[in-house]
Amino acid sequence: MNNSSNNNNSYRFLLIGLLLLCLIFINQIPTVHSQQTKQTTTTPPQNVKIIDNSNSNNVNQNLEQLYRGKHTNNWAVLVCTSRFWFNYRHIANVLGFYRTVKKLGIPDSQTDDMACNPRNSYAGVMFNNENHKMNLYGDNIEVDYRGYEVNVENFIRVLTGRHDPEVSRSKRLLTDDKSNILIFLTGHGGDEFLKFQDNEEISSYDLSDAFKQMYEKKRYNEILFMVDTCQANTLYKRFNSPNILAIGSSRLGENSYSHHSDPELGLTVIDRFTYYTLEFFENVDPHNVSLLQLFGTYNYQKLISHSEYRSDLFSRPLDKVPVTDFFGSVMRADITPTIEASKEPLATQPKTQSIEITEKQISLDNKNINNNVSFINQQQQQ
Amino acid sequence: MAGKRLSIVITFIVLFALGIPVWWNTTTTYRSNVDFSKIQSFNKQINNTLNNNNSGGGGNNIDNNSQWSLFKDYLYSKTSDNNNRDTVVKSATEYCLSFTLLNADPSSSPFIPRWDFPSLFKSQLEPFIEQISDIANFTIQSKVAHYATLMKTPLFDKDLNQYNIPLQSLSEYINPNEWNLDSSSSTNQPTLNFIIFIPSQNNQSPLYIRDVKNKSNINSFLIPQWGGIIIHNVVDTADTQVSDNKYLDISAQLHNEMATFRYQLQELLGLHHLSPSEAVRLRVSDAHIDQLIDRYTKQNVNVSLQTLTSLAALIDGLPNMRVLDNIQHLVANATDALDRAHHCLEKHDRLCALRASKIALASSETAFFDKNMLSQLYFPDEHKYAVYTPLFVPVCFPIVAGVFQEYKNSRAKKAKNYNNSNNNNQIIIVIIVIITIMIKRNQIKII
Repeated sequence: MNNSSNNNNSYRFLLIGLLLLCLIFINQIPTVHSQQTKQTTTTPPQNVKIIDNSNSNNVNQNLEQLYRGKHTNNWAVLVCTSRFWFNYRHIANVLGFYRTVKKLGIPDSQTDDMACNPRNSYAGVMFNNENHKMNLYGDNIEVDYRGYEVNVENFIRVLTGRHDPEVSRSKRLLTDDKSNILIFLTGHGGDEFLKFQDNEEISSYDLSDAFKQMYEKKRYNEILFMVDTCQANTLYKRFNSPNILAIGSSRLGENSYSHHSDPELGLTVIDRFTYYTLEFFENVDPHNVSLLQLFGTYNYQKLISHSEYRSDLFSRPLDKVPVTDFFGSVMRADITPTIEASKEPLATQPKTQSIEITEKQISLDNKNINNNVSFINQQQQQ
Repeated sequence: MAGKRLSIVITFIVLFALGIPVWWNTTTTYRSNVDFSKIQSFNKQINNTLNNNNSGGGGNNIDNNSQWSLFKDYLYSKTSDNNNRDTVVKSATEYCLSFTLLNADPSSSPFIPRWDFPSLFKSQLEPFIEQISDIANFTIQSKVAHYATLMKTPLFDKDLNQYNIPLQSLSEYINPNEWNLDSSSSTNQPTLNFIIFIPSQNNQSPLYIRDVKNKSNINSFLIPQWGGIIIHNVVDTADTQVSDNKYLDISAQLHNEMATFRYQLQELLGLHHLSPSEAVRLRVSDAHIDQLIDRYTKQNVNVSLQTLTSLAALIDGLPNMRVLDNIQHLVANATDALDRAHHCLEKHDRLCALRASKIALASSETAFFDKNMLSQLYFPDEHKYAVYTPLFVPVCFPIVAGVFQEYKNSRAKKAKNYNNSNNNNQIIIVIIVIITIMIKRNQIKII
C-alpha cells in the first residue's frame, strides 16, 4: 500500500490522460439531392450479390435513387464506451465510422482525443490500418460528449431527448419522424449488456426502453443499430419497436476479435467487424450498394465470430435499402427566385412592439467576428 | 436470563418490523398521479369512430358532450395537410431567425464587407415578422462571419466570365454544416438560418449556381426545414468607398437579398407559392395569415394530443420511471389549454385558439421531455438479490437463530412440563419461508 500510494497521483493522472471515449453525434442537416457525378469504379466483393439495375427505366439511376427511403435527414450516434490506451481499437472503430459517415454525408473531417495520449508515439495522429496510410485524426472532429460525460445516463438522455434545459442544441439528437439514425456502439460487452467505462453497464432492456420512448415520440423514421462488442447479438434481443434494424458482430458466447496489431504502437488497432465494414465502404460506390450487400460481407472466416442481423422489426427488404440511407445523407435544395425589394415605405408604425436591440462582440479563436448585432424581438407571449 | 434473551430477540424483530415501512418508502419510485382521463376518452372516441367507419356504419352521430369533438377533424385533416412538401418547419412556440453575412476569404480580398443589419431588417423583414408574431415568438440575431470555404473549387466559365456551381451537384460544393455557424450562437430555440455568402474576391468571384438546362444563373436556394442561402457577388463600383480599415458597407446592395430571405421564410413557414406580385410586398394578405394561423393551431393541437397520448402510454408502460408532481401540473396545464382551444374554436376565434394551442404544445412538450423522467437502469431480479442478500443475510441469520433458540428453549420447558415432542424443523422452515416471501413480495425498487 505504501509503495503504491507514492505512485497514486501520477497513476491517476495517467488514467485521466488515457481517458478517451467519444460519443460523437453528427448532425447532418437535411441535405441536397446530389447526383454522383464521379462514379468511382466499383469492385464489389465476390460474395456480394450485384443488384441489376438494367430493368429500371433510367439506366443512370443507381440503387440510391431507386430505393431511397422516405426520410429527410440523417443522424449518427457513434459511441465508444471504453477508455484506456489498450482499448485504442475501440476509439479507432468509432473514428473509422465517423470518417465513413462524414465522407458520405458531411464532408471529410476528423476527430481528436487519442492523440493526446503520452504513449502514442505518433503524436496527433491515429491509424486504423497497419500501413499507417489513413490518418483518422484530423483537425475538425466534433465530439459532443467525451471523457466522463460518456455514461449510461447521458446516452439515454441523448436518445430520449430528456436533457437539462441548458444543454445546447448541438449536443442533442434533434430528430423527428423523418430522421434516419445510425447508432454504432463499441466497447466491451457481455450477455445482454454493454459496459460503459468499466463502472456502469447498459442492458438490452434499457436500450429497448429508450427506443420505445423514441418511437412513442416519433423521434425516428428508421434506426440502424450496429454493435461491435463481444456477444453483441444479445444486445438487440429485447427490441420491440418498429423500424429498427440491428446487427451485431458476434453471437452469445462469442468474442469479437481485433483485426491486427501494430508492432510500433504495441497494440491492436481495430476490430474485425469494423475493419471489414470500413473496407467495404472503401471499395464500393456507396451510392449503389444495399445494406444486404454490406451485411453479406461479414462471414465467419473474416470475423471469427457470427455476425447476425435482426430485420423482423424493419419494414423494407434489405436488398432495397441503399447504405446511404444510414451512412450518408443527401441534402435537398429548392431553388428560390430573387425577389425584388419593394420600395414601398413603411406605412404604419408598429403596433405594440417592444424591440430591444442588444449588441455584443463575440470573438472566436482564429476567426474574427465583428459587428455581432442581435435583435431580440420580444413579444408578449400568450 | 432467559427473559433478557427473549427481550433482545423481540427488540430486533420489532426494529426490523419498524424498518420495513422506512425501507418501503425510501425505495419506492415516486409516481405522481397524472390525470389523462380527457386524453384517454378522446382517444377512445377516435378509435370508436374509426371502427365505425371501417365497419361501414355511419359513425357521424357525434354528440356535443363528447370530448373535444372539433379536434377530430384536425386529426383527419392532418394527413391531407401533410402532403404538401416537407419544406415547412415543424411548429414550435418560438424560433430563432439567424442572419449571417458570411465572408469566404477576408485575407485576400481588398475589403471586408459589413452591413447595417438593423436598418435592412427594418425595411424589408420587420413588417412581415410583425404580422406573424402571433404564431410564435421570433428571436432575430445577426452576425458577420469570416473564413468559410466551398467544399470544391467552382469551375470557371470563360464565355460568361464567371465561376459556376452546377445546379445538379450543389451539395458537393456547399454544405452549411461545414461552416460551423452554430458555435457562436448558442440558443436552444429551433433555428432558421439565413446566410449571405460572399465568395472569395480573389479567385471565385463572380460566383453563380448554373442551371445548364435553362441556361440561367441562380444565386439563392432553400434547404428544407433549415433555412436559406444566397450567394452575393459584391458589386465593386467606383463610388463604393473603402475606408482606411478596409471595411466596406454593402448594405445598399442587399435589399433584394433581404426580400428573398422574406420569401424563403414564407416558404419555410408554409406560405407556398406566393404569386410574384405578392412576394414583392412587405406584408402578406390577411387571408394568408389566417391560413397560417389555422395551420399552426392544427399542428399544435395535433402534436400536443399525440405527445400526451405517448406520455400516458409511457408512464403506463414503464413502472420504474419516476414521475414528479410537475408532470402532473404540466399535463393539467396542457389539458386545460386544449379545453380552452376547443372552446375558442367553437366560437370561431382563431387567435384565441392559437394562443391556447401554443400553451398546450409548450406544456406537453416540457412534460414529455422532463429531465427527471429518465427510466434508467433496468434492474433484473438477480440484481435485486445481489443488492439485498449481503445486507440482510448477515443480519437475519442471528435473529432467525435467536428466535429459533428461544422457541427451542420454550419447547424444552414445555416438554419438561408436558413431556411432549414436536417437530421443530417445521417451525424453522416456516420462519425462513416467511422472511423470503417478505423479501420477494415487495418488489424492490431502486431509483
